[in-house]
Amino acid sequence: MEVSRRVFLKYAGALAGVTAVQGTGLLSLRHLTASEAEAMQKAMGKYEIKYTASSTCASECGLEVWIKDGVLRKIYGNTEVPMNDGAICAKEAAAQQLVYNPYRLKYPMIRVGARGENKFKRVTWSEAIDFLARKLIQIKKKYGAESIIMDAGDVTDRNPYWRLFFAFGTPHCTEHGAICDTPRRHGPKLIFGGKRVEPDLMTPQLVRQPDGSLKKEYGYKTKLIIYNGWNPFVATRIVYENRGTVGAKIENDCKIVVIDPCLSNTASQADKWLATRAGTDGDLFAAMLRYILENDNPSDPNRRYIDWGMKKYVIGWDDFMNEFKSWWQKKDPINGLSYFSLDWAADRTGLKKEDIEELAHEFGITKPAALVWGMQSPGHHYNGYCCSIIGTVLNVITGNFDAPGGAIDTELVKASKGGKAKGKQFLKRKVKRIVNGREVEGEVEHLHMDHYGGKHPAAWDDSIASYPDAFLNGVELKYGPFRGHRYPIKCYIARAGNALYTAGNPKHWIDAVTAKDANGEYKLELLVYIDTLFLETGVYADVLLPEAGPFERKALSDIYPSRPVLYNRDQVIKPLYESKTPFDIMIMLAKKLYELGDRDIRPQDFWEHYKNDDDFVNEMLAGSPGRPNVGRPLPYPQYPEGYKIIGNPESLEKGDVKIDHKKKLIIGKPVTVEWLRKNHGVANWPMSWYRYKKHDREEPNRAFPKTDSKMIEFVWDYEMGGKRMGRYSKHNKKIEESGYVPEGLREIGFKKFPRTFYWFETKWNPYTNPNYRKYARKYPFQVISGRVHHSMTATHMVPWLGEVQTEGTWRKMNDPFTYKIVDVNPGGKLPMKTIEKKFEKGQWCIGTIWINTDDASTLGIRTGDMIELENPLGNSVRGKAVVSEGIRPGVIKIGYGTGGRFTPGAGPTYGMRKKTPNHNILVDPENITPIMGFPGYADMIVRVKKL
Amino acid sequence: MKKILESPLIEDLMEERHLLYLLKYVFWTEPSLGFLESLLNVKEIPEGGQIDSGLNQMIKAVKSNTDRLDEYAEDLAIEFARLFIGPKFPPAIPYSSFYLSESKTVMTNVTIEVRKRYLKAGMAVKQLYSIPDDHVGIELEFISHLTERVIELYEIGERIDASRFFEMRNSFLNDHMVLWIPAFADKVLEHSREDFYKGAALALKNLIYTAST
Amino acid sequence: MKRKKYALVVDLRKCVGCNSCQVSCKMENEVPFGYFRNRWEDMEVGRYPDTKRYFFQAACNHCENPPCILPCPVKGATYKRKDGIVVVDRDLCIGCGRCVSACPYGARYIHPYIAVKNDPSKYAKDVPEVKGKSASDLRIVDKCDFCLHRIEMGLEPACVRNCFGKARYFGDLNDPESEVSNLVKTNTTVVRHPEYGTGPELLLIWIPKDEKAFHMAEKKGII
Repeated sequence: MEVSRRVFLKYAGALAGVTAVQGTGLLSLRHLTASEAEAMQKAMGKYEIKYTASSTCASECGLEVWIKDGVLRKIYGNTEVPMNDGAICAKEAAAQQLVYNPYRLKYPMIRVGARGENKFKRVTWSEAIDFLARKLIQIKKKYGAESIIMDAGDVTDRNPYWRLFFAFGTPHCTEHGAICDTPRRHGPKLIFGGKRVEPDLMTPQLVRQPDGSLKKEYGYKTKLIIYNGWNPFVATRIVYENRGTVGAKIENDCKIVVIDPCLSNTASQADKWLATRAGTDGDLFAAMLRYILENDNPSDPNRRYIDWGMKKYVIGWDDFMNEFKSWWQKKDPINGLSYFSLDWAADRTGLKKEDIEELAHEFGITKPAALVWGMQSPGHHYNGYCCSIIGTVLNVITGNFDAPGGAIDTELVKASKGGKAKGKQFLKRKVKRIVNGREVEGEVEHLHMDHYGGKHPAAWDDSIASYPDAFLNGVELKYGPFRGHRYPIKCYIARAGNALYTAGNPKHWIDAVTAKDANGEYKLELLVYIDTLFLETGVYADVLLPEAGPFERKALSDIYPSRPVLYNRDQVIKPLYESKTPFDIMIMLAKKLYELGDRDIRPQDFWEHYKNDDDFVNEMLAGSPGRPNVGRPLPYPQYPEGYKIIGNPESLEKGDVKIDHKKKLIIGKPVTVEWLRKNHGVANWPMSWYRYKKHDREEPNRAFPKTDSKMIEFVWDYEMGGKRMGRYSKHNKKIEESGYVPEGLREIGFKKFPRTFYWFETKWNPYTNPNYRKYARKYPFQVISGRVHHSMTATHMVPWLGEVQTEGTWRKMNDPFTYKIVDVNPGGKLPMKTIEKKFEKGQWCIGTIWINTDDASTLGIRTGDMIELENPLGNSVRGKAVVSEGIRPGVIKIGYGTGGRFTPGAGPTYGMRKKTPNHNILVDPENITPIMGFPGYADMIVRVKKL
Repeated sequence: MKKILESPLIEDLMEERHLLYLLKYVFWTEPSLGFLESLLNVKEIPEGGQIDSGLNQMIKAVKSNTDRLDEYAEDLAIEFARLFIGPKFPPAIPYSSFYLSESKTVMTNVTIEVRKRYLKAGMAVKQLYSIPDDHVGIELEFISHLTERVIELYEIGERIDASRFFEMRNSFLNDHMVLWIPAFADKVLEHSREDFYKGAALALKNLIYTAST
Repeated sequence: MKRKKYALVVDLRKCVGCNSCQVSCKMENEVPFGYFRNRWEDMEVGRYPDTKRYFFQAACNHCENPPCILPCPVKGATYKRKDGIVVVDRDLCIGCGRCVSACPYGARYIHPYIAVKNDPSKYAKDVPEVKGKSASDLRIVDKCDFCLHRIEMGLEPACVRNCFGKARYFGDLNDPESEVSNLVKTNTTVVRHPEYGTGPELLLIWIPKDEKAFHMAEKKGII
């Protein structure tokens, strides 16, 4: 440049002082070494294939991802993961749009306005962690660590958070399970020590052959599947039930029956759809059980329903059946009919008597078969426990439990993972509290608000539904060493969950988190939100911490398999923006708490114990698969039957093991993250069936299932060998010691947890519970909800999923509007870019209200009309009607969490918030299920008004 | 046309870098208390153009908050988040690809072209793959660093290398920064509720105009 | 070796309605919001309680006599390969949109983001659609090409790989042993609108759950 511009001459003098203060160092850039620069140059533009698992979705499909320039480019299923066998659904295929979404939470932020006002400022991580640690220590000093709740959302990534907060001294570490479907899991838990019964459809099955080799077996054995209130094609996490259900049907002539008030997508591909009245799942199962018991005839091949050989493996058969039969003598006050009879069930379910009879007969006679009941129903009804128990018993007595092609309790057979990493050992630490003026010593776990509180002591998955009440009124312990101890809840940490929108009635939650004490301070002093997205709970939080998103963090996956399988959820791209992994957040916060003087946090439990997050995952893997060597064929015939198997499949196959006869262990080389990376990301162990039998004799092996007696238990509080046993026994002992009957049990007129079969009615159902009969005329519709799994609260910002119409609850019915979305970016550095999108009418899916054609025509409603639903509690929601023949008259369905969003982080769906319904607004906050304290999401009635 | 470095120009660069230091900091992060205090000591700059007006507007804004500097730092932090970060969609997106890509959006091949420029100078973003490379603060840091290199090399007599870096700097300014920074600055000017950021945007816009021509 | 004839067979009895085919296609081929190479639809018929819902899915048929090729003013910009796949050459396409209107199945669209590379001024005399426009004003045409880039790597199309119901099959109809040949041999199959006369052979083939419902969906314009 020949001519000087000479325009800047005054700045050095003026600004030198500023420069001196701020320095001239590099803030955002760094120098590369020559080799770094060369490596970077070389790697640019090349694909790298990596294996991981989904954390976009609770189904956690195994994935093969193609990465270029550190960017997620392509997503396919991992062919070696049998859950999804190389395929993925629309939700995962759209995952780039979640990762590269503008609505992500990018930096730590601190609230500057009032809760809910949506005003935040950015802070550095160290400021955020410092703020949080000081608050936590302050709360712990003032009220005790038990005043803190860590709700860690999804299961696999919960471990770092649990470990930290258990170590800090609170027993309140929970996860999504508590608001998922606890009533549904109850039967398997009581009877098997399990959780979820699923059909034997996961292929390929890795099976030991007579010649000792292992073979991948394809094909299906099942002949009948009954899905009651279960919609695997749309709502659930058990992804092999997609290809498995249609595969068994087409390839094995398996009959599929779906019982659902709505023609679900699963029902639409079934052989038979039975549209029941909502909330009568247990009624139908009870009638099936009675029919089978009354009509079983071992000598008539057409009536050979019960597999009587099963009795060898069951304890408490007679107790259960006698109690069940004792109801037959009683008349139901609602219809005057004998309980569990076909007429009774026909009256209550609204099905034809012949249909019920045929269903019971077919289930009795067809083998192998599987009876499966659902998450939203009965999992979301007040009395879902009864249905879950009877369903479990039906699978057992017909000989289908763990039979090839039958019904498998996946909880019992999946690989164990987590081990010491999740920090439950810290619950055993001794602590002292002053109770009624007296110093008492106990363990951390004795401070638990549910297990030792007066409401739901058997809430082994915790009762998140009870939190709002605890924020407002505090906790009083009724059992255990700290009986009489009262404490407030002062801190709620919501991580990767969205409790304010999903865990019951949002109004109720918002009232609880914004309630102030006499001094004008929030009763709940600290609300922390940790997530990748900015969802409703974040709007009310004091601190927002951005967590690394899907593909950016590390853990393990193993959703509901029929045999032990574990796969690596590897970090395949770097956390975007300033988000951090759960492991990093744990370490940062642990160090800060320690630095500020907390001595419950010890370096040797955290940063000295784990060099990096691989170490953490390796600790989770240390005991895997941790299942006994049982079943037919025996998974490892070369090793002792009944011994627990630990180690990677390779070492177990090679015989590279130690056998500990004293502890009954078979110990191979451990599964590690490195081992998984070298093996397509997956560890697959062999399949076997009849895992409760000896492999060569008709005898129980006493190593399986996971009950106290290691038998199938039809009684849950009993004595054996001088010991009190059964799933309910320890809770009854607590009740006997203190004399205090839990409030949940009092609601249903119980004094203790029942030792065997029990029955009670659901709430808000005018057709089965006489207390609600009076509402039937004024509120003629039952309203139910169902998950549309690609339209959950954390995927509404994903445009491609806004093009995926589903049933009557998620349809392209938007009004024209403009909103920012991500869209493809051909040839770009990232696969996605943000654009301002003008949506034309009918282009974008919104949550809709599904209503029967005849009902709609009576009310003058047509598809697309805005309607309002109002319940007897005076709460109402609005949305657009979808009028259809695919739903039972008198029933209305809304997708779970599909509308009425109140966070701008929800993306375009927020733009349609005034025209979409949030089903949870209709939920009765007092309807908390009596045994496990679960929200009664699906018990409600409404009247309908056209707007 | 090969540009030849001359001493008056070097003097200019030596002055200019102070502006770059200031602005890269202001647009990269929320101002610290120390930084605001240092601005209190800056005397009013004799008005000679819009850069000066902008700087004076900033300095005046800080001075009028002398007795509440703590709170003012907080106000600016909130405004910084609102303008550039979120959690609601920010009105002044600080990434070049938002302005330069065909579809006016964030994250395109524009970003990777910027990354290549850094690489050519032997540099990379500290939070590579996490923070997009074309953030206004990073780009300003890049030219401020190149400016510094030019001065250093010139002073030790490495004229050819100095010219090479000068060329790199000019081309980044001329065929990249000047194409989008004014539009970005206009967004700040339009949306900011704080004179501090309005002033900074005015200074930035005109600095880029001046430096690039 | 015999020439290949690629075909996609979709067993609609096994469709679980998940839309993975539609979205996996978008992911693989960078298809923007509101546009489809491959689209999924449903249809409800019948009176309660005998209601039925059917799933359908539509893409390019790779017709034997593709009506989209003749109207193209640029030689080689769109053509049918020897293996049956109908493709667009992005280097040659000038984005005039004639093929889009010529396809009776609606299988083609103009991509809103990908600019034309071929200089349109060379054709402006005969193609008024591009008159006065430069390459950067125009956008290329896009359509299903069975994920040609994956086939060339020896892989299946993305919609087949990711199909959640395992309802989609891809292979060579000229190989009598192939899965697609077997499926076509042993099942009732249908193709869309044979009356359009773009056949006789279409390479997107369905095994319907119910043939009558399939034709009803055709009549209603759903597929």
